[in-house]
Amino acid sequence: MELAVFGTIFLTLLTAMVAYGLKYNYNQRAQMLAFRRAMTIASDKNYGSGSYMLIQDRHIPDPTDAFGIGSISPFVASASVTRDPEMDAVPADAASLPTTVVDMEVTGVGGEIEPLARIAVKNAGFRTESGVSDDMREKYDLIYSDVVDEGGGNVRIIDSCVGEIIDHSACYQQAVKIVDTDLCTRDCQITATSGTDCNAICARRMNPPNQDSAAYNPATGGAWYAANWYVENGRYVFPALNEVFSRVGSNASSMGMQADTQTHAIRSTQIRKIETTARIVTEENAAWEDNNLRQFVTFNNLQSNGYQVNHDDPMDYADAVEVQDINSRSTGEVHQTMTTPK
Amino acid sequence: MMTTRTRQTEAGQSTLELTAALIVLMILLVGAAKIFVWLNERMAYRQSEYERTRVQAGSVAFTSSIDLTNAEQTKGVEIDESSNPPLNIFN
Repeated sequence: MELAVFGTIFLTLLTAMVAYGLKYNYNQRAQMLAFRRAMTIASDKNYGSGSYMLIQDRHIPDPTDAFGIGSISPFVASASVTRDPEMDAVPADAASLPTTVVDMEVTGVGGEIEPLARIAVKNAGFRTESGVSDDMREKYDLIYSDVVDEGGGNVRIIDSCVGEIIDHSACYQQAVKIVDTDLCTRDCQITATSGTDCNAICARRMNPPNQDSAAYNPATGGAWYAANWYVENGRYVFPALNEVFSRVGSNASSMGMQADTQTHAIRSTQIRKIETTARIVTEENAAWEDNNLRQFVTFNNLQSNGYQVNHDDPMDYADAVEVQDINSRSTGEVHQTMTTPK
Repeated sequence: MMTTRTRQTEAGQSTLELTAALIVLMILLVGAAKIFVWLNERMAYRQSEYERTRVQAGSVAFTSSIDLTNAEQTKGVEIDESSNPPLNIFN
């Protein structure tokens, strides 16, 4: 009895030691790979910076299991690198827009890690607005930081809220800065260089939607994600932005690889014992299959030249949300025959 | 007299079984510890190799031809672990 209890404790200890050892190893390796690959991407002058994410579904054996099969654990690492000479570079074309590369790898036959999927998505896109006076321009520079004057009151904005993956809280903050003069001023006082007249700049009106108008004007262009804004219980509500994220999933706050994973695990085990007068032969056969289903969400609203597709109704932007299913499948087999003479 | 002899025999039997089981358990424990130590060593070797190749990895010249859809082109200076010591439980 005592032996059975101690044996279980020993086996649990063994499991924990092996599992922790493997997990830290795989984590370390994934982080190193991610950083080195981000560095390589950043070495391209067109990109200047590199963002890379690596997701590896690794098989971790479990000694407490009768056949030691275990399960699949995800190892995620990401890195961003910006080369010094490109620190202040402004993207000029579609190829130079900031991009994140996502690699998915999975444990294949024989335990080797194999590539599953590679996705390259732009983190920002170009958006144009017209009728922007020099006065208004200062506020555009404050809100977006990367604004290019194309002459005749036309500006080209590099907007992270029209990229192929966008983040709800970042776009919400940006929309609030556009429509709330006080918050714009407070943010300006923290981030702008000394001598900047934050009160005067933030009081200026950008193309609507702005602090005075919630309507979106497709003729001049504007921050469509702030369109039709209103205040409810002291909090700003942006229906167009909410509509986009309602297509991503319930309570989703960002695009890209979603945190929820569905795992379908199949286990088939068999023990066969043949006893003769001379020997006992035990055959063990086990087969396993793990399917990890994830969703990768993108905002496919960019043309090939990096400019966003314009819609008259801001709510139509939500139609560009696309959900892609990615299934990571791992399989393996265990065969063992043991012969004991009598 | 007979009862005392039977008890002594049973006590010897259980001591023998305990000894045999403890040997197996100890082998398991020491084996697991060896694997754990080996895994830790691998991390240290990997870190050392990572540090050794830092300059090489950071000296990649600027280019303008990386195709982001091609995994081969975005590979960095990857860690070579082929020279790391293999797992040896009996050493």
